[in-house]
Amino acid sequence: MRLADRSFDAIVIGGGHNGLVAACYLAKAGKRVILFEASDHLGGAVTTGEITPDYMISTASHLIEALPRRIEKELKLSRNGLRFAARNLPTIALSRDKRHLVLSSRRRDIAALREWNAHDAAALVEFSARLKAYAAALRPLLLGVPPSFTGPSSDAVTALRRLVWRMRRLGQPSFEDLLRVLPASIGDLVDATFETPLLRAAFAFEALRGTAEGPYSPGTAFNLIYRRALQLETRGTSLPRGGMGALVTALRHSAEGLGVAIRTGAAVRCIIVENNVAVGVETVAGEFLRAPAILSSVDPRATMLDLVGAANIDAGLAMRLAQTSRRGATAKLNLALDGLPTISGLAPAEYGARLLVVPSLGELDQAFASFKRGEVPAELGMEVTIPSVADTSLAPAGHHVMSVLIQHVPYEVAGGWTLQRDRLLDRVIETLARYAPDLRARIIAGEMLLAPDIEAKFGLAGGEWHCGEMRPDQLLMFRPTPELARYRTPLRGLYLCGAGSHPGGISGLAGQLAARTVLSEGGRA
Amino acid sequence: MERHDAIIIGGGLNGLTAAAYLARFGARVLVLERNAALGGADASYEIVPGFNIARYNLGISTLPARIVSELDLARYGLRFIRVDGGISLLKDGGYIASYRDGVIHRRELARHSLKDADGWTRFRRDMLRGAQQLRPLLATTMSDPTRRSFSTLRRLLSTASRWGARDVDELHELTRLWTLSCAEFLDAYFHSDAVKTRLAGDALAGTSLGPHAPTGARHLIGAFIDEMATASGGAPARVLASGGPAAVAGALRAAIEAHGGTIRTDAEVTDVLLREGAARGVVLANGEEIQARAVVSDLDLKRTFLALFPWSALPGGLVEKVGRFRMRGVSAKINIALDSAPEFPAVPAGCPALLGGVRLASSLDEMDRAADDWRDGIPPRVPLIDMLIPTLADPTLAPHGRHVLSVAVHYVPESLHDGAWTGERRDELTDLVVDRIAEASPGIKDRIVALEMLTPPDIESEVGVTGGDLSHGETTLDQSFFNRPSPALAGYETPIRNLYLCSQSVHPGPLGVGNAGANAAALVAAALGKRG
Repeated sequence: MRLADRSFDAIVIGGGHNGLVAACYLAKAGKRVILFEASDHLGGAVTTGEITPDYMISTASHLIEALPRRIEKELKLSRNGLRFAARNLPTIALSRDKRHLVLSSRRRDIAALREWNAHDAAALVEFSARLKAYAAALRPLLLGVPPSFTGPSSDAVTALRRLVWRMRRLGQPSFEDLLRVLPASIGDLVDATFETPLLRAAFAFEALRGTAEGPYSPGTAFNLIYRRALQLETRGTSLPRGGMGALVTALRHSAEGLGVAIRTGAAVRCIIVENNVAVGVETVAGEFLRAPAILSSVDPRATMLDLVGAANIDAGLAMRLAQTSRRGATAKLNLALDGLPTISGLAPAEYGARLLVVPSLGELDQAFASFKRGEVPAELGMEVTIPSVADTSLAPAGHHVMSVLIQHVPYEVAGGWTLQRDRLLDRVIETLARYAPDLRARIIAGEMLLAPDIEAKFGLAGGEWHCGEMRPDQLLMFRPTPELARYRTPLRGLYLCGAGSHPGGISGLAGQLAARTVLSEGGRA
Repeated sequence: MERHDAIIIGGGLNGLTAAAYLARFGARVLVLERNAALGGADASYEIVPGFNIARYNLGISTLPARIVSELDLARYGLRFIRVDGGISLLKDGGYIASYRDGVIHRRELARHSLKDADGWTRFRRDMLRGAQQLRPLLATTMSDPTRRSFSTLRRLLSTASRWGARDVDELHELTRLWTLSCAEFLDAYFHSDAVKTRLAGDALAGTSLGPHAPTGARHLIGAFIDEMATASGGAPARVLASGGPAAVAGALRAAIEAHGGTIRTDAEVTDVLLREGAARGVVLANGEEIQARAVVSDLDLKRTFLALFPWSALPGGLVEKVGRFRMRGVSAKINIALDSAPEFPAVPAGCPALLGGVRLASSLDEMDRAADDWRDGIPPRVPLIDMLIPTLADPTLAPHGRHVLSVAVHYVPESLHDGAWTGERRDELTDLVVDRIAEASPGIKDRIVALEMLTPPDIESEVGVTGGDLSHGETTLDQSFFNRPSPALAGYETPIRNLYLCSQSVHPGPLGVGNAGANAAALVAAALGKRG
């Protein structure tokens, strides 16, 4: 055992994108920062991997949808090598009858929809505007440090009063509508808004992606507003050149440029607590390191129960952590293809879009029912990208890679995944082949990550991508638990900065807001 | 032409309650009921001469205690029988009962899981706390938070200040209670599936939510609303009106008439008289016109606006808003007369909890499937069945030694995905339910003297409630409080001057039927200058 020969102001545990963002902001403020990552590479579930030699793909999440422009700029990600193969990706809902629908309110797309269904064309424009207005009204609440309800720093009264003000400013009809939409199910909302089944199903899928809920689960309409709020800070959905790993590489360069010491393959064994103060960490290799601030971007539950240890936290907190819900519901399929599959009815320029393959609303509800019961759904909702269309570096010339997020795949299935894995795979390919009949013939290789695989590979409990489901009882000042919200913990010197803290998503916001919190307490620490 | 201070359209419990309050306040009231019997969805009838049974509902009274005492209904002969919470029969042949006595109830839970007996103490404490927070809201008129007025803004800001000053842990508990599913919420207290199934059944029977649907947990509070914290610590009591549900309507009728009010049955209102945009009275089916200074509708929201008015007379946007309000029946009713007491071999003889009813629901999973079937428009393959044998507690309801069996079948869709409810489909469901009952109570089929089944469409055509929805609109959060039925209408007033709403379509809905009537009456009385 030897003590580190350098001293640090802050230790960041976990090299996911939030950990890196936190480290960068601390370093930018002049702090000496060291970051420990247990695995050999940074980024966690934000990573690029090889399906088979020469075919690269974003292993898990595959699009940047929520990274704020501000973070991109402040951390000079562009100068540090982040390039985008495509920005502002359109979303296209694929239709069985080849009348694919671009989900946007741009004039050209609306005109196309108007030929199909004039009511829905008007409804879509109005719906998009409403969604944007609601997202804008809630943005300060949703994307900042959650309000504090207790103690001298309490700002909840101000926050709520401001919220009242902003909601009222929407105007009476919208205020009324928002109050109804907030607790509503997405199914009821789209049923009341659109006529076209595809449009209904597409928006329902958008609200359900990544959640463990069905279209008629109350509260799911809010997911759409939340996602829209995160997107307000961005330049639209983007595809980083080189896959999601490129974002992490740029963050790493940014961090290193700012002087952050990065140790990969260095797992932290525990956080050392003395008199209710977190004073340092001990690595698995037996190294001790002390610092006035310790930020953990790993799962809050693992941070508190495994690294801090149940002995150092109170029983109520341990119970609440154990109670947090994380039901993984999204699987991932990555395919290497020997050519671009033909999707009938899709214009050549549209192959690079974000493609939604959605069954009807009723089938989506049935998929959810199957999910609840631990069965492989009969019809699947999927989000598909073919990133190699815009980014030729991912596959050999003329060849392609396809990335598929599959919704409503349970963590466990009756009979076990060993027996059911191929069935699911078959069903996915079969579903995709309805739109791209030559897909099957083009597959060279593939990998499918189910919830247990995602849990094992990335350490995400339950295979749940968000480190704690995004639901009202696990958002804002309740994320991950009331005691651990606002990036602080009951232990002085210990902070949380990962996706398990508000506001989640691949936004880096938790990292940035945690760093700001640490800096604001600089004197104390 | 007759003149009254207020006409109440519909003699359901909310309408009668509103009329009773208004009459007490000194208003001349007239209640107009389309059917021969009062009570609306809470009416009862003789299935065969001498056998009294609730026709549409199970037959449990939820009339709030405050209304019973404020209207002095005991004076008009209303007596209640408080019984234990009932029994659920389990798939494995076992049972779980809810007892009012805390010691016995905890012992019962311990039979299923030792830890759950302790879980009950925490659960009950939290439910009573939830009920305490909810209770004042039930007696409160919702004011429209979206109104553009200075006083509304000031009220909203002060609400924000009040909420912002609350403790975050308390808010978290509240958020969990109001947003979690029943199943997940119960997981925090109980281990035994039997216990969870029992409680989820109490909460969700009659709603459109399954045990895994978010926001279902808040329905767990319902049973505790009128429960006193000082009671002995067991399960909440079930309350039956002595003499059957008709006794409640009867006492309200007596209270109305004692204060000079008039009630006319077989009097169907077809139109509301409008003059200069204000309601001035009603027109009956026989063409008779009756004038009044205020018209109060106990009909559901859709029926009130879409049936009593020419659409052209309604302000812009109202028809759409009313159309969007979701009303879909969730329960069918089977009424049975028996020539002797049914036996339930799984339950020990003389078990007092039997008086509170018997539920057939073997697991949360089966309940969930039934709820999913409902959404898909499929008659439930494994329905949630609630039975009540009111004659066990009140033998006067049937000839000596005979019994009535009231059966509510839940998660029964109002419209089927593949066609209409036909006699054949109704018989299929009846057979399925009776077979299931016979499994739990062998020999019951031979005891049946008479049996009648009512599907949601049957209920709609008899009671008049849209979709056969006994709750007058789904009770999801987007249709609750100021959203029931919409911010502008949740306060019982309508855009049509002198027209008021008092049915379950308005806050607080089915939470204590009578509340809406009482709240609306206070408003109407004030408008009439009749505050008592």
